[in-house]
Amino acid sequence: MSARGPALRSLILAALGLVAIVEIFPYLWMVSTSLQDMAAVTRVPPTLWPETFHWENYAKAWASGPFLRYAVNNAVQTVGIVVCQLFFGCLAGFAFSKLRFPGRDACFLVVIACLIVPPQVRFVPLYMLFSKVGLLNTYASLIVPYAASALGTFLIREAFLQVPDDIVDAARVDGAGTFAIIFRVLAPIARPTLVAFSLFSVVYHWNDFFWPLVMTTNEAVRTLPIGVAMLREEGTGDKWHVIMAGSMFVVAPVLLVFVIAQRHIIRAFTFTSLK
Amino acid sequence: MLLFALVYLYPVAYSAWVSFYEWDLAMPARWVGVANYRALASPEFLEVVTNTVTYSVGVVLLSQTAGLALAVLLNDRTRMGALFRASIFSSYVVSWVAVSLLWIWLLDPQYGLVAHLFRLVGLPALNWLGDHRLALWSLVLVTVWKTVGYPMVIYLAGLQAIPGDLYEAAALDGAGGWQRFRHVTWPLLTPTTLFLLITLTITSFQGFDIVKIMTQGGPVTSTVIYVYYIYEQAFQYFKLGRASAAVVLFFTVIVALTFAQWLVFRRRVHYST
Amino acid sequence: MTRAVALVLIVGLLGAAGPAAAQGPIVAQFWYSFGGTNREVTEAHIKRFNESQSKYRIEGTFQGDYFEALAKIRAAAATKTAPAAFHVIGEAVPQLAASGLFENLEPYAKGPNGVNLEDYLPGQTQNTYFDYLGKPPAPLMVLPFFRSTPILYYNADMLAAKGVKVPTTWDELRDAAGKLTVREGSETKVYGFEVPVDWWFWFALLHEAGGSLVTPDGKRAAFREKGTEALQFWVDLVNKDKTMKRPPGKDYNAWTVTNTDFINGKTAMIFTSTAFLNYMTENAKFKLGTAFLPGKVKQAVPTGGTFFVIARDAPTPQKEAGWAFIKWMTEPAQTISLSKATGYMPIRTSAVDSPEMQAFYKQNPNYKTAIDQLRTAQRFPYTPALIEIQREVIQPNLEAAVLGIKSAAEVMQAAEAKANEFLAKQP
Repeated sequence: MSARGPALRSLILAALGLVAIVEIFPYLWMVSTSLQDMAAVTRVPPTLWPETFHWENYAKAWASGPFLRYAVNNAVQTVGIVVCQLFFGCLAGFAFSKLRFPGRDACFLVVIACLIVPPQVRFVPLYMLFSKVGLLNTYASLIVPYAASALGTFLIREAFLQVPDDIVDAARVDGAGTFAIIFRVLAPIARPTLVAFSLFSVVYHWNDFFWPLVMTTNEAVRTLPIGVAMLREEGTGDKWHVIMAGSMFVVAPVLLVFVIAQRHIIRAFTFTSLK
Repeated sequence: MLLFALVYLYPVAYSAWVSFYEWDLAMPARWVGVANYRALASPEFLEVVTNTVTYSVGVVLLSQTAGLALAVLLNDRTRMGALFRASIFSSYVVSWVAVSLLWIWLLDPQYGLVAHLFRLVGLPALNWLGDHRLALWSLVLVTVWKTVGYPMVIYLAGLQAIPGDLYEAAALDGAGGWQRFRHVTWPLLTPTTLFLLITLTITSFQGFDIVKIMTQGGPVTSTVIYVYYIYEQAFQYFKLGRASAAVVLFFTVIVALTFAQWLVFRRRVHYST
Repeated sequence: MTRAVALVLIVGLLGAAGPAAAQGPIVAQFWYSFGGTNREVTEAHIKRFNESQSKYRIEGTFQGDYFEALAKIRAAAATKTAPAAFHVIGEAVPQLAASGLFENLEPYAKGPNGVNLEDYLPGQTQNTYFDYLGKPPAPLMVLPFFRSTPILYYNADMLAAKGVKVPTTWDELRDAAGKLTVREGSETKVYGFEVPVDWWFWFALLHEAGGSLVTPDGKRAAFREKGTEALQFWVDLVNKDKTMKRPPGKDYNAWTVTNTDFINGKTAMIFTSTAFLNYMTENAKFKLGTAFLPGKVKQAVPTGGTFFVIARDAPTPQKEAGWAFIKWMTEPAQTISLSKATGYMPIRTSAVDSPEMQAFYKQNPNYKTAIDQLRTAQRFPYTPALIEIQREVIQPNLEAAVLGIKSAAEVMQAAEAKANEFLAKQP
């Protein structure tokens, strides 16, 4: 990155600046729209910066539904899912990489295939199942179907495969039980994978609209994205300013987490390469 | 393991079973044998497959390359770099609904910003979302725009894991910037690249929201990709049988592919021992 | 491992254990699939209903968009947990009825808490919405909810500026669109006309051209010739005259773009639902005009919107509660307040004739257009194939012709063949 001519450097900076603007522009536009009023929102070309700041949009969005409950539910659901995914992913990853049992590879092939089963298809049988056991509208219906992640298992297995068997054997010789091996020895080594996967999973499940919608029929465990969707109208000209304000409630926490965790994420990767 | 069986195999087996019926969720299911599968062997399904493959290849290649480039360029500890990185990542965490309207406006051929810019430089304004030849690529571009933050962050981490001394050694050997990249950075990034390749491909196959929100599969059927096709069949046409058949088909294809890959690797393993 | 599983189960069960069922009013669910203003208005009315009596309590829940909600209802019906009341689009009624989803409402309508079906506007009740194709009428299963028809909205300022008369025929529309389109080099600053390329409007055009969807006995498709004419009209406007903008997206997304373009002065005339009249009136910065849809051989419009239904599989007391609610919602007082708040039509003749509404119409003549236009309302054939014809045969193919990928004749020919397939499957 050092020896670059100044001309090239400014060109690169300009390009980066452009990219950054293109990337962040929609986010800024979201913020801007969330502070406008209806007249400003319907104007074309769209108002880029509101003249007066309408903070009441946030109050309106918050009050349009049980947003506090939605927020709590969203957090519980996302954290619950990711924790389970990591937990079960490590277990399954270990089983598929370090253990030997008959049909292991066949099972794994099935896991791979599960990677492409979309939630739209899983919804119907699972809805009926959860309905029959009365677990609809509970956290269980949101978390359990995602608790075992095929992607997570796949990636964690890959990571565990990289670890030489001697390390595992050494740990066993030291008297470590299976759980200890998985969580004290292998997991730390696979930390970059775990972090990378968690990042993806958190963003996905935090923003997930479809699953919490179809697995719930009342407000009990509904999440923020549903709350925002309820602000939309069909063709009647959505009240974008309120919708954006509502969307900010969904976006802000994740963005915040990212900003804080950025360094940790990078450190997770750096740490492990000191082999 | 048991959990797997429950949440994955049960719905999949159920789908397999349903695929042999014609069912609309309300009336009792009617056995139609392989009719659903035969119905799949239609030009429209083929179009779905081509669309999906095009979309995936486009998204994965572009977002991974762009992510790498951005990571390389932003691999520093300056405040500026952090700012750039945060802004690029911001689009990743925003939900689709929030930005869909913006993009529809931006791409409107009549008064959109993009059309405006094109006209400024004398290019004809393209109907990004309304032209059936362009729409899929428009979605690819919007997806890349939105998700490039993720490979960027992962590559960044991978880059920072490369010990600085290797670069110094290479520089001492007289290697210029590009050569350093080719011989030090790129090889050491291989695991990261592989990881991203797999993750991005898999997630691109699951693309759904963008289609649902921006084009609903249109114009005509040019942006119907795999998951959206399933959704359409199941939710809009209530042909659950056909939707399930599509799922089972893909399931089988993936299993077959993976099985073939595993066979190949087995032989290779034997070779090395 | 077991500890974790146990933990998950406990959390799940804790979540499942709700408060013990309260004694008191019978509680029933009403599932709806809209957000925004319609949702607020509906919830306000639900609240009023609950406060107006103590025997029943209705809980309204948002269930996603129309398709998601319907999928959930079907899944719920399969497990016998369907909500007491929900709403469906008219075209879906025959098929869903054939699936046994709906409760027969005749006993309720004729009972002590019944309704006077004569008092409803044409096209709003089941018997005036459907054409039973020579067969005996199906038993009452639906009551009207938010109902609408398409109307022509126009930017009166633009028309006045160019000296264009409000079109009443297809030719006049074409002419007017030509005069109202403003071009600057290669850019079209203002389109003369815009309409979502959608089944609903095509249905109007089909009948305006003198055609019909199926033969009077409902056994075969009858729309090829006139349907092609209708489609060709759009094709010419978009591709030959280039005076019509085809909004991108499908379903309601195209409708949103159409409305926004109109409000922002990017197009001079549009066809869209009367349901958006409130929105247009509030946000248009120009003089807003409404008119009947232009006709060809005659003037014709479909009606649209949704109907209330009661689920057959819900427990009886809940069904009673559901009935009480939907009946209350269609009473003149409620239909007036619903209509005023949303722009959907009041569905009862007595409501329209009431002094309140008459005064309102004097002040806001635009709102009367849809009501007056109802005398040209067309019926839909009562056949379970109707929804399939809409969604699988017609809707997906209209675009292909307008985009120039296939000719209108080709599209309609293929559509006819497919429609006949579906119709042949019916008893």
